[in-house]
Amino acid sequence: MSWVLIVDDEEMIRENLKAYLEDEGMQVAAFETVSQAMHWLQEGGRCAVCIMDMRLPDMDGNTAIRALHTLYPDMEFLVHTGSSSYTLPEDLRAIGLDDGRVYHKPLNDMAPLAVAVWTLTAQQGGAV
Amino acid sequence: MSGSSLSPCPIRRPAWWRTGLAPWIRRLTRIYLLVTLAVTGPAAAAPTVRSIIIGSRDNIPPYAFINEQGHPDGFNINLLRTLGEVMGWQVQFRLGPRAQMQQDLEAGRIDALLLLDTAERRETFLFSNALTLIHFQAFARRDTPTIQQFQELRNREAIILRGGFLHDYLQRLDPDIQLIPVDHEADALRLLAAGEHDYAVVSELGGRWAQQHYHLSNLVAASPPLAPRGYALAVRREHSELREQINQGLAILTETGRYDSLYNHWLGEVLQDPHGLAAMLSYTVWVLTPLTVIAIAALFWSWLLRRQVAQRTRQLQWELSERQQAEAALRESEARFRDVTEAASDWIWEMDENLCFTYLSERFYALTGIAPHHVIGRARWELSTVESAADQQKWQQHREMLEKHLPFRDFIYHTTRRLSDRHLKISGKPIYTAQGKFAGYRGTGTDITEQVKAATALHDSELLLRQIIDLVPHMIFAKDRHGHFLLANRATAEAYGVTVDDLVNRSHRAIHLVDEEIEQMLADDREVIDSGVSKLIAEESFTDHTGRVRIMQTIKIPLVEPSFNEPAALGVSFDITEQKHAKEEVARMRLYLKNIIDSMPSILIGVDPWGYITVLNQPAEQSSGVSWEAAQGRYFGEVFPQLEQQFEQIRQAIRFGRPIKTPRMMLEVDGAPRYADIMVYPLITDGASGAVIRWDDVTARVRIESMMVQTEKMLSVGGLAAGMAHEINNPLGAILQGSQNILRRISPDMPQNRAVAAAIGVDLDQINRYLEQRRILHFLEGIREAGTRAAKIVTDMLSFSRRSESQFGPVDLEDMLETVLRLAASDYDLKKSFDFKHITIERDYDATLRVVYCDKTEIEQVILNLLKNSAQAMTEDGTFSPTITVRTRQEKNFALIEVIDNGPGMDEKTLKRIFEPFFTTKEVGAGTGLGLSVSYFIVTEQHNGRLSVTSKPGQGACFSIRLPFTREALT
Repeated sequence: MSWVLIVDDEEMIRENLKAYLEDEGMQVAAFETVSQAMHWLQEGGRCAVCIMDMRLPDMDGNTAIRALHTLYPDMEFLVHTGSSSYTLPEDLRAIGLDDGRVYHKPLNDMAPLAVAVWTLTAQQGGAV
Repeated sequence: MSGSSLSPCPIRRPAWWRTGLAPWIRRLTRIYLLVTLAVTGPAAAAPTVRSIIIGSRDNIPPYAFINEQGHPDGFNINLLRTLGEVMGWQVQFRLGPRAQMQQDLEAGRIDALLLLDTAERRETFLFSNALTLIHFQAFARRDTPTIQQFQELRNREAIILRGGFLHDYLQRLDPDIQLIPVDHEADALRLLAAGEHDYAVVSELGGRWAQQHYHLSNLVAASPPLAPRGYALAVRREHSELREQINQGLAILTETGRYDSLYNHWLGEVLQDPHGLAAMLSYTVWVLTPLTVIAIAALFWSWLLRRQVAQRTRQLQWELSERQQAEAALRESEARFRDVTEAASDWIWEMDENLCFTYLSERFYALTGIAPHHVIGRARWELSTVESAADQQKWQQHREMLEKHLPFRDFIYHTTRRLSDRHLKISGKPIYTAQGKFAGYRGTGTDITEQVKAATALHDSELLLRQIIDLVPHMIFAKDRHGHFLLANRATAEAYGVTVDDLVNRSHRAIHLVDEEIEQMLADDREVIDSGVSKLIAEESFTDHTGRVRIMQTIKIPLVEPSFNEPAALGVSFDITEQKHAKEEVARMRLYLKNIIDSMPSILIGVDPWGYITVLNQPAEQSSGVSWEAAQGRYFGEVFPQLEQQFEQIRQAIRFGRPIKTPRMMLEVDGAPRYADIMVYPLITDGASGAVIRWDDVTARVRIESMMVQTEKMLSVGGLAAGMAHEINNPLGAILQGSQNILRRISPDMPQNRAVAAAIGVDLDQINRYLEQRRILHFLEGIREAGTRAAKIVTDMLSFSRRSESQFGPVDLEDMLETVLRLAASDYDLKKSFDFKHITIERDYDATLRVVYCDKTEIEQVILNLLKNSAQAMTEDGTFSPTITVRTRQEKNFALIEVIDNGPGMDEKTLKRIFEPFFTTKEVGAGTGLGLSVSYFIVTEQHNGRLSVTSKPGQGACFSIRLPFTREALT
């Protein structure tokens, strides 16, 4: 069973994503802040894919991705942002992110995101 | 006063005759009278007292005149009075003009008339014996030539007594004698003395009497006494007895000596000379006749003596004749000299051997006003005025010449004495005594002041004229037929690079450089000289000495000037080079300005103050379709009806002298509305006023400006959207994701749903039926759609911000269009409202146009928007056979993509606003109102291209996208 980590400060976005992915059969850990997510990981939480909001109360999403990638190099990231003008920084592209991993809010349909999560989880070879 | 002193020998008479013979002759006359009286006898010796009226002239002193007491007086009168006494007559005198007296005598009003006894009168009257013998003599002023007989008066003016004997006599003698009749002999002489006429011919004694009486010292007898006539008493022919009595009385008077005493009293003083020789001789003959007998007795005795006397007499006569001739010649010479001296303006001077003046004729004093004592005894140089060194030298030379006793001519000098300032010219020659010793100089002098002044004045005026013509910058010259300069001013000489003096008398050919010019100029000269008509040469080239070619305008006029020997051509040449260049420059400038105004895109219409067209520029000609020439003078409102209402502005602009602008005026041109800025500029030039109407078509600018306003709006929308997009997107995400989850979790198809439902004992199918019946699912779908639309609005709004170029790249235009057309066919919104497949798509691609440089996604969106817009419009309109043509064309700088439909089209109002954000004609909810404005923004702002639309209601619409080829255009 793959774990999906969701970091988003908007509760209903967080809840809806969690609900949809859980309905798709995934294990989802959702946190309001990066520090809560870090804490969960340090406590032993494991995930293959992280869906990261960009504007977060304690940390900028890009920074969070860099930090998590440093700590957990196998972790894959998807960006879910409300900013229309978001572009991927080059260093994130260097660690394997591309424009296909960027999802703009509002998501009319969450299915493509779920497919992306499944695909990435499968690439990592199943459960963590 | 002696007669000879008065009259210097005007009558040639031998001296011996003069000295002793006169008394004898008088005595003989008396004897003669007595003898004749004795012969005739005293016919009426008895003294009877009778009254007798005697007429006489009253104007012939000393014979008969009215004396100072107003009584008749004179020799004749007194003789007759005495006669009356002798004869016992009571004599009355009646004095008056001769003609009247003659009539009176004929009519018997008088008994006798004192009258000259002539053959002619004897036919009418009987004449008594002569009372006295009268000679006539010419008198003249001293300068008048003397005459020997009256015939010499021919063509001269002779003053005579009116109606006298001489009057008739001279008239008959020669009609060419100019007779000046006067009423009194004395008047005749006085008139003469006053300088009038040439001669006075009067009775000898009358003349002398008047001379003495009036002291007419400038008169002299100018002829011998001539034409002797006896003065006698005329009586009517039937009164012969009266004549006899008169004769008798005369005889008594003579005998008694009273005749002599009267004669001496009246005529003795006057008569210095006895009567003329001929007359005397005739008397003598008469007298001698009775004595002949006595003489014969002595004849033989004296024969020898007489022969000697005769011989001597002949000798004397010959000597006399010689002397007379010499004297006459001398007198003549003297008279001539005197006359010349007096009449001439010149004077005579003489110097002694010391070169001091001894004599100067009167004329010198009169002229110079110098008194004789200032001059006589002094040398000429002491009298002169020396003004300069040259004068000094002149005098020095003159003096040397005189000291060498050389003759000289025409020495001119200047004297300033008192008030007179004279220039004098003298000539002289040395004179020598008979022994050959130098005795001084004699010569003449003449006053040449007037000539000098005239010459000076002439010189001055010539100098002035010279100065004037030299001051004139134009060339003034005169040339003869052969091209020689007769006159030239400084400008002319300078043009030839010489001085005036060098130029004059030189040949034109010798000094002018260019042969063709010379020939033409000389030909003109000759033409003017030959025709005598002046000529204007409007333009001729003249190459001056430096080689510079000038354009001249020349007037040549024929000139006949005495100082030139032959007719000449006088020319005045004006240098019109500058003018000509200026004129050409003006013409060039005019063309230049015309080109400038023609090159201006504005329509320019020049009008006069009354609105009549004066100028049109080329755009104006094109706009009106009327050429400048054709439009000139037409009313501007007629040629440009759109501007007719501008007349008030024209009037005001001219009146207030400032431009008046009417911006953004809406005009209809060819049925299409256009915007124009109309500017009326007043034209205030001297003398003419008017205005220029400038018409700038600003339609494009107005549209661009309005679009820029739109763009600004869009950009602000974009800015706003960018700022709030994040905040809106999160709630929208919650709405959309939430509704998706709701729909998923109520679906009976999902196992988790069924498991939960089973666990809690609810039938999902029932719930779903419920939800459907209560249209809850429909409302949920509504929420989803509304959220989607809101998300779309935010996305569109976010498009209104400038993108980086990063997404730009080369795009195959045809591929892109095909992609968009495919996309359109499957577009969710399109599919929902109408079937895109019902619309015919026509492709009209330019094969040469393949690659454009753009942001592919954006342009795809634009084209899709346009397709959607057309499709929606046609669907709503229900257009029959809806067709969309997609056309590409290669323009010079742009790739043109057109989307053309045959839909309902748009009205003007819609067209104006079509690219405005949130403007839509669709029903609420059918569109975001941003599609076209986003498209416009993408094309114009992000691609530096153009998006335009043309449409008319009912005629479809054509949207044109122009994307620039050049990269530069993008930045």
